[in-house]
Amino acid sequence: MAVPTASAESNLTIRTRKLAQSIGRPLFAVFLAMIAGSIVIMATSPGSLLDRFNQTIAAYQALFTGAFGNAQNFSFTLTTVTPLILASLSVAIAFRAGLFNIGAPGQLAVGAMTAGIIGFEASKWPGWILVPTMILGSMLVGAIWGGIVGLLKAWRGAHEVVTTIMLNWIAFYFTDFLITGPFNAPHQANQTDSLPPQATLPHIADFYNQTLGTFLPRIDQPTQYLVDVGLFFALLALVIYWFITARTTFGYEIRVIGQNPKAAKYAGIPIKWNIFAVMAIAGAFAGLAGALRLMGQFPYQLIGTTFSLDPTGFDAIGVALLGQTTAIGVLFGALLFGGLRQGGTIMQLNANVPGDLVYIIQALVLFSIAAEFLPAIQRVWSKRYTFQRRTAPALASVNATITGISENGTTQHAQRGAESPEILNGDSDSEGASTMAHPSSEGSSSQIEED
Amino acid sequence: MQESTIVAPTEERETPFAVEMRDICKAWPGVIANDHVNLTVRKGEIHALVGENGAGKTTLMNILYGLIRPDSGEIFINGQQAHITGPRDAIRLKIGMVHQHFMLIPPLTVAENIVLGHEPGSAASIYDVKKARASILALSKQYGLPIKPDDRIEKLSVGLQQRVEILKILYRAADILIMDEPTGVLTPQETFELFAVLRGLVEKGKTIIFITHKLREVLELSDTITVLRRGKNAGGLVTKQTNQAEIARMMVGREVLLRVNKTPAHPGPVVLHIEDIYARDDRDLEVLHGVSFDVRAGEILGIAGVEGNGQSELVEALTGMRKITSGKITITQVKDGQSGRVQDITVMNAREERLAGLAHIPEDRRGSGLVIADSIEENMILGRQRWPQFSLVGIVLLLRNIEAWARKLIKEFDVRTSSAEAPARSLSGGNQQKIIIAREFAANPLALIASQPTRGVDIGAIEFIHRRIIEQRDAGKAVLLISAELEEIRSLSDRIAVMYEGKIVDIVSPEATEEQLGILMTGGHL
Repeated sequence: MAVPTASAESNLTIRTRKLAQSIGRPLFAVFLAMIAGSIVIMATSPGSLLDRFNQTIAAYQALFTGAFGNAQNFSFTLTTVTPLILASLSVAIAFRAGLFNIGAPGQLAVGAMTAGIIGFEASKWPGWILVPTMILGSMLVGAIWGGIVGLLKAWRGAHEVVTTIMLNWIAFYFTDFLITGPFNAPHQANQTDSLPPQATLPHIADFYNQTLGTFLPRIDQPTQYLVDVGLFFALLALVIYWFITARTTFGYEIRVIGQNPKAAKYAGIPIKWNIFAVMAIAGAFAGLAGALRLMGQFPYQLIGTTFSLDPTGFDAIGVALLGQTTAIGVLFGALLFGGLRQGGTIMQLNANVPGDLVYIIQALVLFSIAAEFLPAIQRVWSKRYTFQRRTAPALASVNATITGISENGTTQHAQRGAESPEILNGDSDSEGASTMAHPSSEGSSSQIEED
Repeated sequence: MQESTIVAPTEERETPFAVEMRDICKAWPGVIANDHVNLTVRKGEIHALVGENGAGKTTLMNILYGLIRPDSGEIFINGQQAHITGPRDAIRLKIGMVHQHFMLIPPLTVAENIVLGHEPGSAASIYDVKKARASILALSKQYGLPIKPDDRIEKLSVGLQQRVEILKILYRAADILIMDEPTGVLTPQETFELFAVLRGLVEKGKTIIFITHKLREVLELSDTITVLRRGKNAGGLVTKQTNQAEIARMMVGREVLLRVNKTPAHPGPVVLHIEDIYARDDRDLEVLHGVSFDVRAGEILGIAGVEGNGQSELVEALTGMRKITSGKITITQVKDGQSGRVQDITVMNAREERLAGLAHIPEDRRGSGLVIADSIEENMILGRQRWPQFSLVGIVLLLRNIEAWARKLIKEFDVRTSSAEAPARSLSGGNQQKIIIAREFAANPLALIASQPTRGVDIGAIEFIHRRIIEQRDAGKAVLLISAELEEIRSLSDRIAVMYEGKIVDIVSPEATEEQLGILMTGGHL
């Protein structure tokens, strides 16, 4: 029986448990990566053990200060975070539908290129028309670039990983061609002209001084705070992403497709159309990332080969995974990855530890998430736990035990949950895999694989 | 619990059995796959292990082959107690298994696949290709299984691939061959050839255990039969002394645990009209050969049949999940006992059919009926997420309404959960099924298609589900019930349509005896 009075309370516990789960896993991954990183520093730095330890502390201190330590550094970090958030949303929304969008770098490139072309070709337009046109144009072309992948996947069955990688290279070389060819700046090698001034986005500090700052306290020396208003677009995109995934039928349907395509078919969800739409939206996010970076930050021009070297689109995969495809997770993941990248430079300067350490940490975070260390540990833990539990009842009473579970399953879960939420998670996962409704061949074979 | 054990007690036998499995038990969390199962197979015979999908046949054979460790029970091979902890032990005991899905490596050659793991070679353990070829050709000649050792597996037909599997086992010198549903993937001609091969092997002294649910093959090939039902022994038979109807009854019959109370039906006008539909299965073979029937308002039409005779495809065709090659399906509204608007739903997809008034309880609850990781709330609107009560103009989810709806259904259908936000996977099978039942019934459909509605759920839930189905009938819905449980069909249905090889062979009243149904289900005539 569902007891109405109890259900409000247990909703709360379920929500807390979900929260604990969704925060625990990424935090654990970051923690593990930091530890491994410190081992690397200690192993490679000179001196006594104490020296090495101090060196490690100093490195992490420099890393943190470099990323978030003061307003200038934090503001500089945010310039990286802006495109990273958008590119990560591109990867994340595709993940929701069970698609692996490796194409964010390419979508970003075509987005930036489109914004640039519009900016150069319509350089006489006033800013209030030009800027929205550039932004919308970049999103549209990004959506087309992503949509191609969706079309190929939905109607031709082409794997999205293959097509996105291919399209990345097409995007890289095609933008290169445009930058070094038709749009090459006169007397300059390998780069375009700068955007006309009205096509750029103001820095937040300047923007504040010109608007609210006219009657509120002004920011001194606004030029030292580099972040531009593109950040607001990224934050707005986060809200839009949250709304799409959590509050719309479209978000619901792509989640069903991602988790159980057969259920999607059963529910009559237009799978092909949704796959196309989700890839187009993914492309639009990434395209916007490219445009905002071009319009928001120095040098306001396109330079050849930058796109294929730009790590944003690939870091985005890590951010989306780390953030477990939630809006808030993407925000924090982007802050972390963006912070690592900016802090790494400072760390190299101040603590004399190679900035490459940052890549080690990033890689280990991803590795830990991808290898699902935490769930694996939980599973081993819960297996031991259930083994002890299961050996107790004699086999003759298995029958009774099973009816007991089906009737009291929820109460048992609640109790276990109280003991340790992680155990419950791992346990119910393994149960979910092995129960499989009936002892059919599928059910038993999945058990074999597990064992 | 146990109904009948088989054959003579072990003390009285003259020669030891090739295989004897005693009191084998294996439980997965939530389900018992094997419940004190016994199996005895004489040396040099073909023994058929028969049962519905999910009866525990494959589990039992995986235990014999060492892939699964039983919770309890003993295994004797040739009279010697055997401790099988893995396939390695089984191979040493000269047991071999051909799995339902072949365990071959497509890019490698026939010879390479056969010798894999036991490659002939010199002391430096270099693979000796010539030796491998020679021994395979010898083997192929000895057992009359012609094969070309240098062909790549991916170039071979399914029948030849199976031959490679058999040779692989023979190469490992197996005396006891387990064949898990070997004919499922074969054409009739290949099946015919396989049977000849198997008979030849038995003549050479091999013992064969043959898993199947196709009764004709059982009668054609086997010497003795063990029938499993829901993880238990349902009986042991000697093939010559039995017939299809008896086996069918043993397979699908269920102990009558509950009598369903129901009043006589008052059928109204035709709601669901199915006219001469043809459809193909996933392998592109025609499985429905002109199925026609009507379901009236206020009646339950049961479809009986041994599994695999097109029932699943019929349900998919009716519910918009499978395209039909020809035929027509219509659904008619009923008002005050009169027929109303007729809608042709032949080419509609699942979403449109739901809108037209069709509800569907799918046979594979975890596979397609639920999104197991999502909350109960989210599962309660699956397939109806764009309906106006759940979303604003079909776009923005109305979370409050969804939550209220889920709470109402949880209460009404007695879903045992602590919260509507709990993931569906945290519930027992019966309660998961109740989510589906609640969702489909509460939408007030015109017609209801219930496929295996009580499969894998506990007795309490079975009774509950049966009561709900009859309530739907009494509320004037047209109910189409598909079940592998003959007893369920007989106790719920007002008419029974029997399906055999993609056709409705007859429609009978529920008073028909099990005997009569058994005959119809296996292709006979009354």
